[in-house]
Amino acid sequence: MKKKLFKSLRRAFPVVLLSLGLFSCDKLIDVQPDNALEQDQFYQDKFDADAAVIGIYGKFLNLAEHHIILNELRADLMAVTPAARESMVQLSQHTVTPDNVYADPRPFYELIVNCNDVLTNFDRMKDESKMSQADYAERYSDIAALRCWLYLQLAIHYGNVPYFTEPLAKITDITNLTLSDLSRFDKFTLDQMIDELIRVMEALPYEEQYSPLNSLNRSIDGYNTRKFFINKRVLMGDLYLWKGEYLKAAEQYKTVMETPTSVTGASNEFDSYKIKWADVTNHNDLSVGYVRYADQDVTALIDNNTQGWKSMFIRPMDGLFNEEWIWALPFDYTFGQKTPFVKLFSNVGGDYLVKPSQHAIDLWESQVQRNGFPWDQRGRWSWKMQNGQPVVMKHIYNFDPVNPLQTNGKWFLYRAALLHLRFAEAANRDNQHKIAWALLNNGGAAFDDPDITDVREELDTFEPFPYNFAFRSTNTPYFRDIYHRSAGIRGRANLTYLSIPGGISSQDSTIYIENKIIEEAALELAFEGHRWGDLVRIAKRRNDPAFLADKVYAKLVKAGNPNADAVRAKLMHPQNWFLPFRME
Amino acid sequence: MAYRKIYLIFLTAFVLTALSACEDKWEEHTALQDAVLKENLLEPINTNPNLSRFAEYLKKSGYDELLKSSKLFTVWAPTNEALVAIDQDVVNDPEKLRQFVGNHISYQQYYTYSPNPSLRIKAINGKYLVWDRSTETIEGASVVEANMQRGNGVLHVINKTLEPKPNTWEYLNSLTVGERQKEFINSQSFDFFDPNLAEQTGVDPATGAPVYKEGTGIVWRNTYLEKVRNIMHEDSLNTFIVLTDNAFEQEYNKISNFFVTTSEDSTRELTSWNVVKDLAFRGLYTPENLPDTLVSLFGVKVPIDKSAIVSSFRTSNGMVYVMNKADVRIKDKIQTRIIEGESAIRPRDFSTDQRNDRIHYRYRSNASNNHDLRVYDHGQNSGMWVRYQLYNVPAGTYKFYMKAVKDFGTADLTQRLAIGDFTQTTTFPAVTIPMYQEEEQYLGEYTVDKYGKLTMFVISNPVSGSDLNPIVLDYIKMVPVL
Repeated sequence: MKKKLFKSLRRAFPVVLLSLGLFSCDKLIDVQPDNALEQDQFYQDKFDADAAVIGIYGKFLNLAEHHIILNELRADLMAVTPAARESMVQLSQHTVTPDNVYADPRPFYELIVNCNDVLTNFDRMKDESKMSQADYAERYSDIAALRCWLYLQLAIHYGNVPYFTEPLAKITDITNLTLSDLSRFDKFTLDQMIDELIRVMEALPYEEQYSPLNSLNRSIDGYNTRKFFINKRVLMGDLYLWKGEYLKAAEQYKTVMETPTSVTGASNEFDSYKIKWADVTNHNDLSVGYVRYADQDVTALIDNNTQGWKSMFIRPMDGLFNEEWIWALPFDYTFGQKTPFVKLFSNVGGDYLVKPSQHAIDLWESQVQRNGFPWDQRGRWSWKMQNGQPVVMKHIYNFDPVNPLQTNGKWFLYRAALLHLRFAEAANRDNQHKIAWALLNNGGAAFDDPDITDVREELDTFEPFPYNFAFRSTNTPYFRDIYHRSAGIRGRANLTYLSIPGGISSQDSTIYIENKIIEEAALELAFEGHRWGDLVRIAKRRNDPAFLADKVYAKLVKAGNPNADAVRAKLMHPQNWFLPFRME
Repeated sequence: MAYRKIYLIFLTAFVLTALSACEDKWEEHTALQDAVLKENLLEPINTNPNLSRFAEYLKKSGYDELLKSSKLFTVWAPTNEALVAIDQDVVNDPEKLRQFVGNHISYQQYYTYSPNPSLRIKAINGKYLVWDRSTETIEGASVVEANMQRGNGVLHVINKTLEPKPNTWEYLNSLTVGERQKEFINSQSFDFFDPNLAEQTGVDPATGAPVYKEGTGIVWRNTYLEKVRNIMHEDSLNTFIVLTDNAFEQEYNKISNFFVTTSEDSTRELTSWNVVKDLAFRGLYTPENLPDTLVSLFGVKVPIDKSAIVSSFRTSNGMVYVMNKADVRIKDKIQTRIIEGESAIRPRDFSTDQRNDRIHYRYRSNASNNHDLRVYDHGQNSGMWVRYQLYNVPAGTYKFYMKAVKDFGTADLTQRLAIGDFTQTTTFPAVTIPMYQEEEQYLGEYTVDKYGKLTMFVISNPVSGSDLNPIVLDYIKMVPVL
């Protein structure tokens, strides 16, 4: 009996074992990962959508180095050091070969593919009612606008580039993106791209920044996210400016100038984005300032990390920061982020690959301050001599060589001074010379007419939107117009005011003012990643390649580059303004 | 049977392999093939009969032990013939012998092809040897047998001894001419007590101060060596002039009236100092490359008349020229002095510390040193002053000039310079300098009766009104009247 049972058990055992094995296969193979989501598990509610938005911007940070290097090193204000890599030398002297790493547009396309994927999923969520129309509109418009910004950068640097909005989810691994993956898409020239991007931007369901109650507007790890996201209106303004639709551009810029930006909601309409005058008693401002009554004293310069023009590159995202910055993203070492700029710029703790060009240094040193000192203090704060070498400082003030692992910093993308200069550029082309000149120079003071005693008759442009600026600040009658603190770009920098040479025609003065606006942009915004675009835009607008070629030539000549003449001749042909488009 | 055979073969093969493995092939590969490299430098010296005297001195000086050590050396060994002429004083004085032998040995290995074109090599006695490739000599001695490599260095045999040269300081003190200069420089020596070097024996119970053992912690120092040039130092080259007593007297008399003080002793001291301070120069000027003018470490031009050179000597750290004339011009010795306006320190040098924000160090491209001083809107209607303190001002008469460019407001600039005391108004009356005047304003002459400190004040116009009472000063210039 016993034996029999044992025997039958022995016979049954393999069957049991086999069937157990078969059943378990089901779960064994299809185990759900604990720390990752399947694609169809994601995009369930608006918080998933928020995570996708944050994810896109997190990846966007990786483009900071490309953005600064492409836009500055190709232009006239930044030069290579002896330590620079061959790829950077090529960029600087416009001899880029197809194997140059900067000829590879893939970093841009990887993010574009991500954006496309996110946008497709947002559409699906809206269709499946997983996100409200309002939540959808804000998030969709943000990511779509960022994609437009990426395409604009691609078109500025590479000229003729494939344009697509499909998610490309079929491509298994986007890091292996190749040219053949993109070859089926239409290629757009810079002009076609601008038209298409304007079309996309105009069709967006939402044009403002995230509304105050949006869950993306919050404090994360001590950072307020408000300035993280692209400002759609400045992008639209830029696109219109490229297109030559100056009134539309001015309208967009003006709307941004008057956006209340306070965190608490209290009105700071006089201060935000207004290029505010100097706080002469306490110096809590973003000006080039001196101790009161001592502006003739070189030792009285307000030069610290919390006050004055320099502090905008150092201070935390506080009130004054928000008065100037429109778009900026932080690198915080506590989250493993590392600013790429220390490596690029610093000669203590970095590789010191690029430096200010002599051409840029000379430009600053040729300015005269209002106290008679023959320099532009912004230059001395944008770069400085460190161990006998000129070092770009703007991006690395937060880096302390004593704590080399604390690689904090910010990627500065858009600020009020740029907004004012772009507005001035548009206004000038729209025959609004006076306000353009005033915003560049001394702000409201330009409209103070000594022959007029009634304040209601002066200190105002008396123009319709977007050229309506009122600068009055009187007690009887009581006026506090919203631009009454406007100091002008040169005013805030404590520089002497420029004057338009007498007897020149309106046509000529348009060119004269435009030249000065672009020059001021160099002085104010050097190394912030706007220069190459400015040069291309103006040269293209005027159909005058020499505008661009001469400036690059000046940089190379002052650096003693023997190829300067050849580079100038090359850049006289607009097709040579673009990098070779390489993908393999 | 066959199995057994195979087993045996295997066993044999195994044993053979194991045995051969005992020889370390790698060690064989890296072993020194050249037997001489197992020797140290002492061995070839001891075995070469032509170097027996040098070997003997090595032993006597104790350096033979050093050459057995595992550091790397270069030895230039003189032959017996070369050593015949050696002074017996040197041989019998252990200290001198050590100096002498040490002058033939250096750390590091130097081969005959090392100098390119020449090398200054520091010998282990601290002196430098010059090895010149073009003449193939070291300090004038030719290499007879070169580049003998041993385990701890390289040996050369040379045909002359390398006598240690005195340095400039030692040579100066061995001279029999230039007594006044020598005496003065030696008079600058003093003993300095350095508690860190002293041996502490206890603590004074009354005061708690440390008590040191008598005679410890005393350091010899010399002011001339510290403030002018350390001509004792072997590592830097210098050129030094020794004046004969007549020439010294001549130079002394030329300038002594500028160093009038309250006592004769201090006048003599100061005058002598000012004669000798300009007689040392940086760098080596051999007779072949001696220019007709040398510039001293204090910027004074010293004419070098080659016919006035009595003798010259190449020391271990430079050149010494004994000269019977060095006719320095008084105007080079007693120089024009410029006092920059911006050298006044805020608030220390101003009449009040309540108006610091009105004291402006201005950048002006047309100003001397690119900066000037302005005190503006200070509200001190009875007069605000700024003080300049000058030290080591030679006695004598000076012409005073003032440069002050008032480039603001509308009124001309009125201000006053006072010497010694700001209430003093007699030396220089107030001057009015027209706006934008770039030229220096001549103020007048003033005689400084004694060498030393001079205090001066610039005082504002004692009126009210910020445009009428500012102080502006680029510089004050004092030109000696000679």
